[in-house]
Amino acid sequence: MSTTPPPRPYNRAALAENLAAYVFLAPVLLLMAVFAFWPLANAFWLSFHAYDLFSPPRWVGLANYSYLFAEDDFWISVRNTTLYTVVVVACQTALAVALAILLDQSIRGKTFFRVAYFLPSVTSSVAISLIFMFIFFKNGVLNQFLTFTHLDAPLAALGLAPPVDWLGDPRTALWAIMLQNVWSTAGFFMIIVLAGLQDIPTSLYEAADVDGATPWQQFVYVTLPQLKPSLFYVITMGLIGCFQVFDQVYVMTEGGPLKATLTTAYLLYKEAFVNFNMGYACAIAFVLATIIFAATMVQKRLMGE
Amino acid sequence: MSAPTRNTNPLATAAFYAVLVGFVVFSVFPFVFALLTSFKAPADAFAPGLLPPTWTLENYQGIITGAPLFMRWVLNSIIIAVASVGIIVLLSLMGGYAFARIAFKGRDALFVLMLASMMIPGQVLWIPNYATLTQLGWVNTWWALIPGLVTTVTSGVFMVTQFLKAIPKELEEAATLDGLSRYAMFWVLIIPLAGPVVASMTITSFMASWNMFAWPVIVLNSPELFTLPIGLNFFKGLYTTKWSLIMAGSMFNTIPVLVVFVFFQRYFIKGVATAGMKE
Repeated sequence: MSTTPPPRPYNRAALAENLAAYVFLAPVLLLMAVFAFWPLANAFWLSFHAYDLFSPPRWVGLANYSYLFAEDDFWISVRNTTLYTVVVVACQTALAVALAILLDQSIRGKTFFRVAYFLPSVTSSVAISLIFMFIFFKNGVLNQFLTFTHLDAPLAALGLAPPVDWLGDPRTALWAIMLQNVWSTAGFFMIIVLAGLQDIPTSLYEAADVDGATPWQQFVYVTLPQLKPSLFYVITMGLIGCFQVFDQVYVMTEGGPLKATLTTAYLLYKEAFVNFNMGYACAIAFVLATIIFAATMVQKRLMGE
Repeated sequence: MSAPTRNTNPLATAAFYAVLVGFVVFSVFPFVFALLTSFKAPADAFAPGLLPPTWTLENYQGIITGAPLFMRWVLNSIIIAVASVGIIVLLSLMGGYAFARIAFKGRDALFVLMLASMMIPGQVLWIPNYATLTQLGWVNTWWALIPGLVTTVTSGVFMVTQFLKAIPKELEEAATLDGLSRYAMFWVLIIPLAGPVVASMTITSFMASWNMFAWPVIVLNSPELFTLPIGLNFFKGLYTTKWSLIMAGSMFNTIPVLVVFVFFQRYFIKGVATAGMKE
């Protein structure tokens, strides 16, 4: 884009244009400067300090970081968060693609299905977390359903004697939150994949038909490569969202039982706003941001974007 | 790709619809179940079966008359949502107008910077923003919610920019000849055109504000200032044994959004789908 106005002769109209643009942008630029870029720099600076909000920050060099890497809770949180992210992103993306392909057919009631699948993603994370807590209780409806359908026997064979306290058992708590997350986001990402599918020219499928490609071959050689931009977006947004998982943990488990659902974002919250180790929490935040950045870069490389 | 039409086998069609409907049940069940539970007496909350053994409104009565703060939280959430939507839509239109229609110095760099700001993980900003709010004296006031909505503003600017770029330039050229200033053009030409994008922004920003949890729970500590999601979580702590009451409370937080969504889903889904086209 050619944005440089002619430097000379001095142009009054161009000046007015520039001024108008900055007047329109002023509020947004101010918000970004004060609440995004300045705090980003500030957080980095604070991560090298001991800071409790009430007394001035005290320089400690790399102590926050070296403490962090020696701390069990931090590694537990990284392990939990990574497992959570991998499972949730894989499941929600697969489900989003499957549902989008089903809805891309010529079917009746398309709008109805689209709205129904999308519903979970528009609701409050707190309300949804409370509803799932209720469902997951030992005497809750999930266990009632499993008994009713005799699915409790295979679970018992896995060592989960029914009724299972889904959020209270360290072996299942993180998985229960994962299920809730996939339930609430799959429909959202489905909409994005569906938009991507509708952009694929039908001529590609016609050509594949002429060549005698099976539906599976069409999916692998036409649909998937054409969907790459949508998939890239869906996976990136999924990674960023999952690595920051907080609301569900705060409402449903508070990191328990036995730290089974301690995620990095929740650890950071506790260190900052419960223990007032603000400098240390900034160090956690930067390591988390680095992990997120690295994961998206790896993903970009893997998908050849 | 048109499997069911190609496939005239009625059994295959039935199986196809069974899968679609099965997933509808999966998506909708938690809401329906919570709604049904909200009509159960607290003692029946865990009774086997989905339907209430006896239907009762006592949970709703309990909330409306017996929990004075609850309706206050509903009201707080409504006030905050209305104010946020108004401000977010206006700021997004202004910013998007500048980016899409004015060739100014530094435009491309600022646009990239704005997209970059949306990529900063929220948690990195929690602590310094909290410190800033402390200095401003805004902690435990509604002003403190502003940092929690900055990315909603920037994504609104992005949406408006994409929308206005698609409109032919000739529109303003004619207006310039008529001697209209940029500011007049914004009100007279751009706002009336922006209907569809305003509709999708209204819905996305309403939902962002109505559902927002992590940031408000950090910066608000007086129960009378709470928004509904924080209030609901607080409520859970007060009535840990009365799950039908908690389910009734959850309905206050979910039903308004579901109603708004079902009525305006066309605009909303369109907004989400275009966001995916960013790449």
